[in-house]
Amino acid sequence: MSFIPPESDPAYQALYIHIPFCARRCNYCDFTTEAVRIDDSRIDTYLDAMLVELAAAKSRDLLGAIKTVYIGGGTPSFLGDQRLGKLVEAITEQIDGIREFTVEANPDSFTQQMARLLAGLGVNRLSIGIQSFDNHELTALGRLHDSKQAELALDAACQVFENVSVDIMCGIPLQTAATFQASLQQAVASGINHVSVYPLSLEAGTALAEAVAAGRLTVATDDEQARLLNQAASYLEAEGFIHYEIASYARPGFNSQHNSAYWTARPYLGLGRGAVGMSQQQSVRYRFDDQGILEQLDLRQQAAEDLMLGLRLLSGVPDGVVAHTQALLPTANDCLAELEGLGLIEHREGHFRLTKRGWLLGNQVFLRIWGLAE
Amino acid sequence: MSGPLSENPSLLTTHVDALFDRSVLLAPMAGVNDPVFRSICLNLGADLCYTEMISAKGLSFANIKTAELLAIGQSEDRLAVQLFGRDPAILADQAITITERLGDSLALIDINMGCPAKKITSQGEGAALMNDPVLAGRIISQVVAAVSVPVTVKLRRGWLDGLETAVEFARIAEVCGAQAVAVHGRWARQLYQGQADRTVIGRVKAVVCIPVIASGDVFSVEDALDYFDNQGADAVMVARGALGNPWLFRDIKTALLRQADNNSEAINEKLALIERITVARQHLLDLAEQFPHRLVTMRKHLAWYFKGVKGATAVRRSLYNCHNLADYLRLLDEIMAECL
Repeated sequence: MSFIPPESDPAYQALYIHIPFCARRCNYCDFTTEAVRIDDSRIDTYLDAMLVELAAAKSRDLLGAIKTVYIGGGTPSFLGDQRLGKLVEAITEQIDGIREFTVEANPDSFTQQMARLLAGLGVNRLSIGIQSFDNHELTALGRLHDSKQAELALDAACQVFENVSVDIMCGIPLQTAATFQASLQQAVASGINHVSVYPLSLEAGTALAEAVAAGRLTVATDDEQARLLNQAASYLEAEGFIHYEIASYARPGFNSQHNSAYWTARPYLGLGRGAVGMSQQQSVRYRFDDQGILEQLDLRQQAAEDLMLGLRLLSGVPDGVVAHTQALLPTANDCLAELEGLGLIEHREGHFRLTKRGWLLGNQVFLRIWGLAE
Repeated sequence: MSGPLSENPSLLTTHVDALFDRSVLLAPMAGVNDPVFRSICLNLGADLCYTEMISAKGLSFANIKTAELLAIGQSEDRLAVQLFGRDPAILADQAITITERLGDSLALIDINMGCPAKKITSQGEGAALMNDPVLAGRIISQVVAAVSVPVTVKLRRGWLDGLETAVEFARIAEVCGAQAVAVHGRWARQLYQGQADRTVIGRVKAVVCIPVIASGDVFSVEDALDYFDNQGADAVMVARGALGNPWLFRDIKTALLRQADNNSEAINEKLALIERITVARQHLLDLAEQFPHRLVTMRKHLAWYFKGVKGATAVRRSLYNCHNLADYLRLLDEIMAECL
């Protein structure tokens, strides 16, 4: 017996499905996933249970307002055509009118055949885990693909899909400004319309953290990370991408609708091992996973969270929202003024936004704002 | 193959298994399989297409016509190349040439030990190699040693009518390093007359661990499903069945997807229970909205809906604690939670 997701009002807008399996765990990974053989029966058992969970969610009327679906992992493409196709079919059978349907894929398990199958079944967006086009960096990360496979996978994806996103990582061991630039350029040249740029984060207990602790590898300092993030912003903006969220760049019209649900605090449902959902019930906001409720936020905490999420976005936070926040959190205005004084946020055209400096030091901004509700 | 993948052979094995996981392939057909026809088949659902059989000797003489057979189509991301010949050294050399020429577009190299045409077998090539298992083994070993892509072998049921050597031959191929065998259920001497024997696939499957690809008389969805379901084939090859009818790939793939929906009994039981809950829930909501004073009748309806279901007694007992809509909904959620 597993935890059944609570109802939500407003209804769930986005559905996340987690596939916790990979061919191999990457050196930096601390996500919920495990390396299994492709014929491991646990995969089939898991997918069977997922079909039941989907049917249950439908039966409890939780799927009626879902606009976006995202199958992430782990490595969804590792499932192979047959199993992935069956899952996608089950989802489209339960949900009408999906506007954006994204599947994550890794270059080592993605083929043009898979792209065609997914497109035929109603998937309209791919997110490819490239990370880098440099073979040394890929080896340091413990990725299963090399640069050639990354290139082939992207070509295959772009031939079939218009809406393709790639993940590019900065601060990888052995990475230089030049190799990072080359990775960005190669990604853009392939014809993608969305890029997520992430700094590598060292998570305790990962193979990479151990290698760094033992002095075998070094990772970028915060200053170096910041320089690389700036470099990405300048280059991608010059190429016509809009930096619409802290880590996300899109050509006009290709913003991720699914992620926007997270960033604008619209309720979302997560299904599968460790998948997090968010539900709104009267004045309480709940976060939960397949084991139970993780946290519940009161109105004050919600106001702080909304302010934090709003600042992540290029569109920023309108004055009206700030006024609402101020009513619940009397020190909000002082905090914003202080952040403005530090040059981390700015106020223009009736909106608060992060400055360039603020984008790089986002965590400091968010910690202060979260402190408002404590 | 370069990069991290080549350092870990077990991952390559996984890759081959995925290649032949209920996949549908376009068989090598001389004078038919050019890049254009292959692309059409790919776009209609073929998982992998083979080149027509290519003479290793022809390639080694740098014969332009032979080399042209290696051309790759615009929408082809990978292809399988079939080689024929009888000289292990020439075959191994040409296998290397092909890997260099096609790079990552090369999915595998298949060695032809099944072609029954007199022009080929009279030279001791194609199916004639089934009469010379020692030489066949040497060919396979040498090609496997020469290249890092998977090497597969295509064979027939046997050479002489009535003398089935495919089972033993497939074992030899496996031991020599072949990563899959494709078996056509006719005797070489039978050419394309009569019918292919499908059951040979099961007999080969019983003795090898590598994937077995079924070939022979796949003209319909039913033919393909019979190979998969009743003979245990890992993949099927379509040859003459695709001529003028490349849609056959789409039809087979669709049927396989649909078949994958036939879940295990346990899952079906759960889905059936969820369906009961769905209808009961709608019943409850409609009643509460239209005739709220009759809500108490849900006690008997729910008892009927869940009659015979595991835990039905507990449900009946809980019903008497239900007094309003919220109570009933909570009970339905509890039943659902038991099911998940």
